[in-house]
Amino acid sequence: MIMQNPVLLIAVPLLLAFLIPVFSSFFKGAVRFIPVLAGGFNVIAAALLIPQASGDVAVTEIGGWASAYGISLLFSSQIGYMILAVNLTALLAIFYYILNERDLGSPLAYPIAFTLALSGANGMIMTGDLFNLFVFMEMTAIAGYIIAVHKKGYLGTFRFVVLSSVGSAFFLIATASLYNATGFLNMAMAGKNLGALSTPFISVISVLFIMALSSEAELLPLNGWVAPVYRESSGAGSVFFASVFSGAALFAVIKVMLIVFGINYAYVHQGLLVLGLVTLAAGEAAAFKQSNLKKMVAYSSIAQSGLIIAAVAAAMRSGVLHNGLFNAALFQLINNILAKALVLLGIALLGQATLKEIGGAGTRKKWLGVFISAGVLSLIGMPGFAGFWSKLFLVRELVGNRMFVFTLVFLLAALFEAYYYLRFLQSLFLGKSTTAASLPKTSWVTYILLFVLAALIILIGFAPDVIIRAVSGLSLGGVL
Amino acid sequence: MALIGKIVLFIVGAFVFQVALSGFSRKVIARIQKRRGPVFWQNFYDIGKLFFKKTSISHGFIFDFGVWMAFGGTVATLLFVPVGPYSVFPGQTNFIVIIYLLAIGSLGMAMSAVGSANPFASIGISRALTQMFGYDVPFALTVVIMIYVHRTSQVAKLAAVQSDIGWHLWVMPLSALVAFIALMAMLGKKPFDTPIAPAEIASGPLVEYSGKYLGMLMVQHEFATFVEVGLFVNLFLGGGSTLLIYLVKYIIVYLLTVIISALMARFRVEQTVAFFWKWPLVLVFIQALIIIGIGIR
Amino acid sequence: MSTLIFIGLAASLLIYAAARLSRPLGALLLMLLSGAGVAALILSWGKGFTETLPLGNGLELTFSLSTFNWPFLLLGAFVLFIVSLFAVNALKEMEHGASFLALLTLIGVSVMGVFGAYDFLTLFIFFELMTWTSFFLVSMGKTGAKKAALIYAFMSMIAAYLMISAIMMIAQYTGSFSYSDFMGMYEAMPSGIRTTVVIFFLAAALIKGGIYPVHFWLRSAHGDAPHVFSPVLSGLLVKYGYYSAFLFLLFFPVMVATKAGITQVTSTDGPNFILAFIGGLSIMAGTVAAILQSDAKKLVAFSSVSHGGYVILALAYGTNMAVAGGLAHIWVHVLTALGMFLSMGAVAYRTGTTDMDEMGGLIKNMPVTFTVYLIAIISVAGIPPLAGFVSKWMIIQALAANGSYILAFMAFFGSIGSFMYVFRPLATIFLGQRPHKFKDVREVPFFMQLAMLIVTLLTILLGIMPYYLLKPFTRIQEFIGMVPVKIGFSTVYSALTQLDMMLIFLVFGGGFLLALVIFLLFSKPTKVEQHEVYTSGEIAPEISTTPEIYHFSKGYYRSFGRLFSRWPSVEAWYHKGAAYISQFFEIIEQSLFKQSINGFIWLAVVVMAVLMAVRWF
Repeated sequence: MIMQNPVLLIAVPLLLAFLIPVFSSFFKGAVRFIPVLAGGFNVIAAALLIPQASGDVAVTEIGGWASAYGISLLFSSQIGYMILAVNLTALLAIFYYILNERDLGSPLAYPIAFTLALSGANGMIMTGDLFNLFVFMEMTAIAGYIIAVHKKGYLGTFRFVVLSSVGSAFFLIATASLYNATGFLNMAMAGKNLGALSTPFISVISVLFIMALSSEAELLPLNGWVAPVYRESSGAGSVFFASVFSGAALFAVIKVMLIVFGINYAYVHQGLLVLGLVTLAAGEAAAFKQSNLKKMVAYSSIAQSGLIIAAVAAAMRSGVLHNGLFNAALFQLINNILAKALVLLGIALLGQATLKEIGGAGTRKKWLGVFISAGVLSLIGMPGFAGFWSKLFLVRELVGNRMFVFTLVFLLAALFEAYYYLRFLQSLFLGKSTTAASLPKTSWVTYILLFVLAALIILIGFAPDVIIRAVSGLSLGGVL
Repeated sequence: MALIGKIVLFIVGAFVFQVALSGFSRKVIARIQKRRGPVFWQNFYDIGKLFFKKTSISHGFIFDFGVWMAFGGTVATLLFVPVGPYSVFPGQTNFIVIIYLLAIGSLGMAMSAVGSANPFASIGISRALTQMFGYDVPFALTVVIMIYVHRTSQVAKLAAVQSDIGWHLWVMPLSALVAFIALMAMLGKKPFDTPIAPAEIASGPLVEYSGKYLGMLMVQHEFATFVEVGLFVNLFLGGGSTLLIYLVKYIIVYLLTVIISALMARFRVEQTVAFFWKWPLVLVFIQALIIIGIGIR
Repeated sequence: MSTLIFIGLAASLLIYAAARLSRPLGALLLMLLSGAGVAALILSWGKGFTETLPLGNGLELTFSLSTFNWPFLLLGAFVLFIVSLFAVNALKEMEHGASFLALLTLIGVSVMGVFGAYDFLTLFIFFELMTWTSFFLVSMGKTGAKKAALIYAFMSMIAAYLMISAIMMIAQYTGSFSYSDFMGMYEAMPSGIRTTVVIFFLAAALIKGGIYPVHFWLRSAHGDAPHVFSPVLSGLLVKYGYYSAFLFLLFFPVMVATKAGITQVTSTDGPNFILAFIGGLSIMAGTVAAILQSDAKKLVAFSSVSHGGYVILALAYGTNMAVAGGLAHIWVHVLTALGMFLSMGAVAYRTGTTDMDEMGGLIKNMPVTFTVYLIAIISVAGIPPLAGFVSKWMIIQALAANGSYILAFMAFFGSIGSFMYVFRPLATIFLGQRPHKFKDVREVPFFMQLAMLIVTLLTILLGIMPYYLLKPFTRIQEFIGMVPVKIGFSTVYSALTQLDMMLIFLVFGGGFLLALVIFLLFSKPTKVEQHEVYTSGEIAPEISTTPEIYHFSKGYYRSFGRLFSRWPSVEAWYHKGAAYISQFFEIIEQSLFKQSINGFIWLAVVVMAVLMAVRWF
């Protein structure tokens, strides 16, 4: 069946993206609906694919080439939920763009960027081939450049370009070296043939991979672009960065670490663990003092990425895969994707940029306040929302595996995160605005978008069962 | 019926005895100051005069209510203190109860005084409370030692047990010293009379009282003195196996406080608190260490 | 009970809607709900049940009503009942009254969940719910409340995270979250884990209970919170700290230990003496700080710190008299905190301020509020014949009977010092000269008076008949295997002596009557204006003698304050620490995230080099 092939998730948006310039000469006004088409198709396709997938990873070979020589796509129910989450948030962001941000820049640029980003992100998540991953990385990066510019974000975008290019260069070098050493570009095959290589070589390669992917995954040291870009980009754009790009990139890092290097190279993961923890701490520290809302969320996003990577690395570093910790990290990733999207859309709807300026906005627009609160409380980890369970499981697994330093850093970071997010909510509901500007009007359709996200978050918060079963069982089985 | 008789006897007896004694102490002070002094029944005249005055000033309901509460509370306390071998409610002479019931008396007077809306009264009360904080803590602690050692908190029993082991005055000398100084502060005698401070804040709490109010408060003060000195006699001098012995001890202690206070000037209130929390407290702790910590009985 | 939780959640939305229509209606609904809770609990005295609510994936919530948590659940329902009664009028001018009531309902739900939990996961979930709802409620107060709320939330989260770490350690060892499994494996647990778990939970209890030295959030949180919420914060949420201490000091260990005739579980063992000592320090610090306050609500906040110290000291001390006294003191403190905060709230409702230096002579305008406050402070000071005396008596008896003179000193320190600070609002707010601007202040409306009077009545009744106060707690003692304190209808028996509250009440009443009779026998007094006082002849015509001049309130205990002018303050340390951390964060942001492009490249290269080098060599 045609619908059973996951390659459509990548191919259809790609095709549509190329068709946009063609359409624009005939149906100028209809161009902006093409991303909707792409996103909608992806969401439906993903929803259809998941029930047919199993807990084990199914490999789809493209073009008939055997997977060792050609590109292969990996799909399982876990990957499927990841895809669904990413595509759903992308679709919601696109709807938001159509409803509220139509008049931004060139009418061609954004649709092309969004559609390309969709294609690239899905590719990053599903591909099992290293060079293919590079291609999709570049694709999403370019889409990101376009989105980042927005109205005036030239400096931030420039930084993004430079850092991303540095990352790409590292990736290319690493891939080429690995290909040279093992003779395979396929991740699994390359991973199987690593045994003969020397330790220093593996260290360098792994570090290069980590560096490369850290740029888009918002990890240190190449995440200096994150805060300015978030601040300057549009609402939909920032959602793309926070949920689509970073989610996909994080998943790609996890894939590379798991499949190429796996549990046999514990020292690789050790470095990643430290990097992740440092990112976590630095991100929270920087977010603490922010008064610009988008930057605050940006740094929080950085910190959460650090947390997830550190958790995954911790799950693999002792020579045996700790299923519980791994699955908890993935659960956290999915929760973050949803919550960050909600919060960023909410902030964009507030129209104001800093803590002081939004004072009291939550009382004037009550539903908006409620939705934002749902997202924020989920990020903090309050019960009744999805984030509570993922935090709980993380703590359980960390304590269970006796990783006390990690727990300490994690909880300290969570403390500060709670502090500044609660400060945000306080200002939102109980502050006094310093500007007399009135809030932009929001149509009820936009509220539906927010409602979908909030409902998902609360649903998972009260009945985590569904998602837990979904995220557990990446190729090695196991339930949380 | 017998109970009512006992109560009446107690109250009247305490009244007569203490007022006569305080009158006598005026003569003692006078002699120290090389005067003659009034007759020793002068205080009865004074109290009578105050009660039978035609006019008295009231500053409102709480002014009156506080006086009733002060008088009532002190009389109630009086009934719980053993006098010699007699107590009105045998087995109910709990020390902690007595200390806190005394507080009702102070609270009532404080409310009433401040309710007169005179700033002098307020200042006096603020000083009185501060000073109480100073002396009550070491005093209570001395008694805690006793309670632990003798396994009872009944004042009557604490008095009785001293006939076996000797007076606490000799057995716990440091405690006795501290308790005596605290007693002087409790009675409001110099050098601890800053709450009254006659020349400074116009008698402090008592500034607005006249007529029967002043009379009632005077009687209340005498009853309070009876309770406080009585506590000291019971706790440190072995009470009295007969009424006469008790009264003799009482007279000696009271006159001692009077004589010492006649010779002293006045402390400021923070000096009082600082004083009580320095040496007396240290002495009590040393005493506790000796008795409880090391176990010398 | 899980149905109650859901009813509560639904009710919060209903109450929000009702309150949007009319605030008193919303408050009345909440009052009915909590009143129903009170009635239901009183009716289920002596009964017990356990109930499980599965959440899938092997997780479940367990609730239970039993002897050991019945008094706490009743406490929760009662406080909400009184506060919502008070709120019928008191929320009139509040900006977000409807949300306030809805959040208050959620707090009620969370408190039921916390006290009614029978496994740690449930406890934690409802504790977090309690934290963020109370955060919003505190933020709704006056200026300064927002900062106070953030500090409060921060400390509560620290407590929460300490708890969750301990809970996960327990779960890892016993394989489940339930209390009964924990108690079952308590003995077998390696002492290292057990000690860590207990210390974490106790640290969380100290933070939440506002004990020195982690008490500094209490002052501004109570002081700046909305007047209707301070009683809930002090009378209810802080009690979680005491409950947690009770669980870990007494319930768990003693249930596990031999059930035969224990009168002294933990008295002079090292670790518990340390905890008792910390409680004692809290008593002393709270008392001294309260004396030096000039804002009425902050004064009561520190009084809470001091009373928390009593509870912790008594619970840590461990003899049966001390434990019963400590547990009873929790209820006593609830009543007094309600009394004091409600009366201060009533004063603020009419005058708009809680600054004691500005007020005076309000007894003429607000006699009912005055009476409520008077009874509350008589109980706080531990003066018979009210409830406060019973619990204080028991604690002091226990300390004296075992010869702990240092702890007894601390207990007396707090007790006698409390005379000072409770008297100050009485003297400065209610008595004395009344400023002109408060001439027309009226008494508070009916519902507020009713709420306050219920509290006063209970304080008096439970004092005269301490049986009803103590019976639930002696039953707890039996339940956990301690020898219970012997109590009669109005008597408490100890090894050293006995206490008869009825007798004391009657004797005091008799004395009072005697005073009244003597008073009435003699001539009638003349009433004078408040302004006519003796001034030692000092009337200066050039200064217009307003009442304020004659009212002594500012610096009421300044002389005492001079003794402590150079003492260290934990709050100051906290602020300094916070400033340092702020600066440190600034540096991190500068160095890692605000570089030039060159800087970032360098950073990347350095990190890469480090990572590689570590594995290379």
